[in-house]
Amino acid sequence: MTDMRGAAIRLSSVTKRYSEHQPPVVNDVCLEIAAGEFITLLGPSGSGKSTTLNMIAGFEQLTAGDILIDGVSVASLPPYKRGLGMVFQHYALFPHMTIAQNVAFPLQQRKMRKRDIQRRVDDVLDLVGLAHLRDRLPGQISGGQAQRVALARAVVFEPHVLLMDEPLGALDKKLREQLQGEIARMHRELGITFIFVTHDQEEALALSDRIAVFEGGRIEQVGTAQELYARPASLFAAEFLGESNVFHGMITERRGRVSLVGEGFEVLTDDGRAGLVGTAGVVVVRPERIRLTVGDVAVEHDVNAMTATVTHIVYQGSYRKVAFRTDAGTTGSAREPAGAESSAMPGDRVTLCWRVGDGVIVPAQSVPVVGLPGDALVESTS
Amino acid sequence: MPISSTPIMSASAPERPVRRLLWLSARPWYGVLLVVPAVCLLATVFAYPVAALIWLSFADPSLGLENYHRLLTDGVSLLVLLRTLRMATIVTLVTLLLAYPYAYLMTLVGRRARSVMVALVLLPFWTSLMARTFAWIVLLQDNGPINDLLAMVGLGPLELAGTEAGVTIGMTQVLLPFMTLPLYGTLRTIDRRLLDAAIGLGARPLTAFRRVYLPLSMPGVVAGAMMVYILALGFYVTPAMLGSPSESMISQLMTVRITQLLDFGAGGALATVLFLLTLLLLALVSRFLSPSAALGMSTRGER
Repeated sequence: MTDMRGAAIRLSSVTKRYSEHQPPVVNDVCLEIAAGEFITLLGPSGSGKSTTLNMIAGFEQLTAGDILIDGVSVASLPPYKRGLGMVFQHYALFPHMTIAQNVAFPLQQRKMRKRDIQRRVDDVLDLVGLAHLRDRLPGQISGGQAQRVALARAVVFEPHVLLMDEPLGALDKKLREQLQGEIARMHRELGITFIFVTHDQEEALALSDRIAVFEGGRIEQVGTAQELYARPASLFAAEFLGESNVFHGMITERRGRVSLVGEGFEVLTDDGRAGLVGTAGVVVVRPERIRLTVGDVAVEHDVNAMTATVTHIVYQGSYRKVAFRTDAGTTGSAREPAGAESSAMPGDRVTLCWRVGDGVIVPAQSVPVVGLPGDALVESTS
Repeated sequence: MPISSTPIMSASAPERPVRRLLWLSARPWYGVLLVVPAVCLLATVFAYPVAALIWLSFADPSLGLENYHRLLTDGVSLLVLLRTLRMATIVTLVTLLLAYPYAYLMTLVGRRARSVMVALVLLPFWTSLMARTFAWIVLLQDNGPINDLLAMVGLGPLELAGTEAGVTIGMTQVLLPFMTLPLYGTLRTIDRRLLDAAIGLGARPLTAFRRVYLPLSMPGVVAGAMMVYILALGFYVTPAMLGSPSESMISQLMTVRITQLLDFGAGGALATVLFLLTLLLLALVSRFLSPSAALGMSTRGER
């Protein structure tokens, strides 16, 4: 199975609307997926990620826009002509067929010779380590095994793209982590394009080359896990992936620097997005970027400082979470790694410090974005 | 009302059924008492007459296989038996062809439309069998509405009343619910996402239906077909009223032998043969059904 390669996929203004009177379920989604890429569509339920996947698969018709696979429009093709592998949320194994028959099914649809089918089925069952279960029925194997069979069945015909709709949603945490490892391994070994839908941010961070964050039928942001975490493009993206301290205010420009002026405080950043100046905005600071010092400290250059009161502390083993309320009224938390804790205790007056480069400015309202592969940052179309 | 009565009631009420359940499970053989009334009833009104009839088929007028010998050689019984089997087969196939799309549609429509469809299936049960059969006599006669309609399109008149065709039409209508309901019961348990999965894996919609949906619907098909076939074998009223004596079915022949000729032995032999045929059919089907039934369970298990 070394001759497999991925296909590039382009979603161009893809829109899905079930009724004229309701807002679209998927609204003007643009996304370019590179050949061989592992991309995750991440979002809460109802954000349009599954509908988008179903439109790529062909189970849902597009209301507007187009989907191109390797430059060819597939929007009007039925699912069975698109040649995509698909893993369903609840496995969808055929209960009346054995494991081997299930895996052979897509090959039979492609009119392959019996002997070749048998060889390929054996190969792919070896790949997922289930050769010994080939004559069992789906009702006689465990959930994790069923998910591996579903994976095997989806890739046995060497598709250029594999679509996965919350494939690990029904499994317990330990099995989920184990299967994540197997999915990552399959992606490396097969070299085909993986499109993975999940609402689990940890799963997305662990698996993906890039993540597209969905909200309200739109893509909020596309980028690598590091980009999304370090430079969230919207408040939603910041809060959906990881924890954030959020400061609300007006974005202004002062001494050549973009800063945020809130009620009773000002936050400096080195964020270069001058286009947001003059609008309501938000500065996002990740908890591990904030350093706590009990009492007052001399403020260094290029560091934001804010006085606050510690409200409570939560131990998490490898770190502790210090929750605070600033004098201006913003609540948030700092994360202190074990061995580097401050002496702050609940009720203490502390100074919060973070470097200006650690704060990210995002608009108070979200804007649609266009994601291109390899983009360091997303470009705003509005 | 004193307020205190409420807590006392609620405290004791849930305990009682639990205690009773324990009482039953501690002495499981007490549960046998529950089926005693049904067993008594069946023994007197079903088992005894059947046993008596079977006994008569060997003992009346004299002990031996005389009645069965006559059944095979009188030239009528065997013919009627074969006709009955043929009619039952045709009726079963026709009801299956009519019921499958209907039951399939029932799984697709919304809840309100489905209640209407269920009501339409059950409607015949709320109407007397005699009334429906008389209605068919009116509809099917040589100058009845059906033949008028056929004549308008240049196809008539067809001889329907008093023929096998008429009997088949009437029996199909009467037996349709017995096919539709078990079929719907099975079809609604089939996960339609399996069809999506098949189509996504490269199967055309018709292939997906044939390879995935149809096999999963077989338990319902077999259950419905068995029910209709067995009921059709012993059908009396409709063939008696819509058919003709020269094309009678086995139950009519039995009635004639027993009530008109008072030949209990010959009637008993026919009844015994019908009984054995039904048992044989049940045995065959239960062998064929059991693996499929197990599959039907595994479909549900996956949910």
